[in-house]
Amino acid sequence: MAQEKHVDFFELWQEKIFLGEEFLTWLWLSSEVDNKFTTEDGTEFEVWFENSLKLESGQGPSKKSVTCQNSDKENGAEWAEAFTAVMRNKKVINARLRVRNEEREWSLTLPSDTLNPKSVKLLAGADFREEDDGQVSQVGALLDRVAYFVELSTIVESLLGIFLQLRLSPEWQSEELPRLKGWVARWTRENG
Amino acid sequence: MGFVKGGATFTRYRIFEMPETGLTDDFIGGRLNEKAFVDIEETSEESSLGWVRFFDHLQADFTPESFRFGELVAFNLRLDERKLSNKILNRYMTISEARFRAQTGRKPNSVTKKEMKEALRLDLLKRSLLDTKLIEVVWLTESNEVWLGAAGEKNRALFEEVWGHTFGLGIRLMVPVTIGLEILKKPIKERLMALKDPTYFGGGE
Repeated sequence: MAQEKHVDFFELWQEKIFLGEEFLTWLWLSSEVDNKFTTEDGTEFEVWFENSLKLESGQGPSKKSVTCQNSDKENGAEWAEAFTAVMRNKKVINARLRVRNEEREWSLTLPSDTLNPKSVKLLAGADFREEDDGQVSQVGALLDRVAYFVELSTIVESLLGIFLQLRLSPEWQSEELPRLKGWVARWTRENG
Repeated sequence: MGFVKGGATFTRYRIFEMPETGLTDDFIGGRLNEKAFVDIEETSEESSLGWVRFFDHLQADFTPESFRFGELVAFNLRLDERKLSNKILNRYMTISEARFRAQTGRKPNSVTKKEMKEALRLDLLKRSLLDTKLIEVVWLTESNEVWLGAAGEKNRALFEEVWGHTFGLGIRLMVPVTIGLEILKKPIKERLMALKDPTYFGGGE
C-alpha cells in the first residue's frame, strides 16, 4: 500500500485549533459588512448567519463562552451581545448559517473545530432524478443529496481558502484586521 | 435522517492509503463481509458492532449491488447494545443471596457470590432488550473521502476503530488546518505551518 508521510495529526490539529474559530468569526463579521463572497475563479456565494452564535475565549478552566441570539433585529440591534463578546476577544465556535450559490441554498451548523457540517438542510434548488414511474428512488435520493452536500463542502472549503489567503498575507495585519476591528468598534460605539 | 432524507450531519475523512489491487468490488465486499454485523438477539452478549447494508440494516451480507451506487460506496455501521445497570443487578443479587441462605442456612462465600453474580448478569442480559444504533457511511471513491453520518468524538472513535480493522486503509479527519494544507499553494502552505499566534478581533479604533 502506498502511504503518505506521517504527520502527527492530533498535535497539528490542536496547535492550529484557533484557525476554525478565526475563520467563523471572520466569516460572520465579513458577512455582516457584505454577505457576497467571490472566489479566485469568479464563483459567487452569499452567506448569512441565522439566529444563534456561540462564542468563546480562553482555554481549560479559564474558558468562557456565551451563546447569542439574533433576537433584536427589528430594533436594528441584531447580534448586540455577540459584538460585545467579540470586543472582549471572544471568537465564534459554533454558528448556524445559510449559504447560497446561483442554483441552491443550504442551511447548516458549523462547529469551528472540524468545520464538518451538522443538520444540513437543502432549502432550495434541490432536484432529484426520477424513475420511469415519476418517483424518486432511494438510490437516486442518495446520489443527488450527496452531490449537493459535496457542493456545499466545496463552498465551505472555498470560503476557508479565501480566509486563509487573507490571514496568511501581509494585508491581514495592515488592512483586513483593522477593517473588521474598526467595524466592530464603530458598531459597538453606535449601538452599545 | 441523514444522507437520504432529513437534516444531514457528517464528518469528513481523507483516505490516504489505497489497496494495491484498487477499490475492486472483491476488496470492498470481502472486507465488509469479514467484519459484518453479527446478530446477538438470542444470546446474552452485551454488544455487537459491525457493518450492515445501507438500505437494509437487517442484512449483513454484501454483494456489489448492496454497496456500490455509481461513484459511491455506502453501508451502515450497526451497534447493538444491552445495558444492565448495577442497581438492577444488585437488586437481583440481594434476592439470590437470600434464597441461598434459605436453602443452605449459611451466607455465600466470596467465590460463590462472584459465581452467582456472573450467572445472574448473563441471565439478566439475555432478558434485557437490545438497543440498535446505526451510523451511515458514504465512501466517495473518486475524491478519496469517506463521510460518517454522525458527529462527536465517541462516534468518530467507534468508526475509526472498525474502519481500520476492516479495510486497513489510513484515514484522517478533515479539519481546518488539513483542508488548508490541501487547498493552498506551496508558499502559503508553509506560512500556514509556521503560523502559531491566534488573532483577535476586538479592541479596534
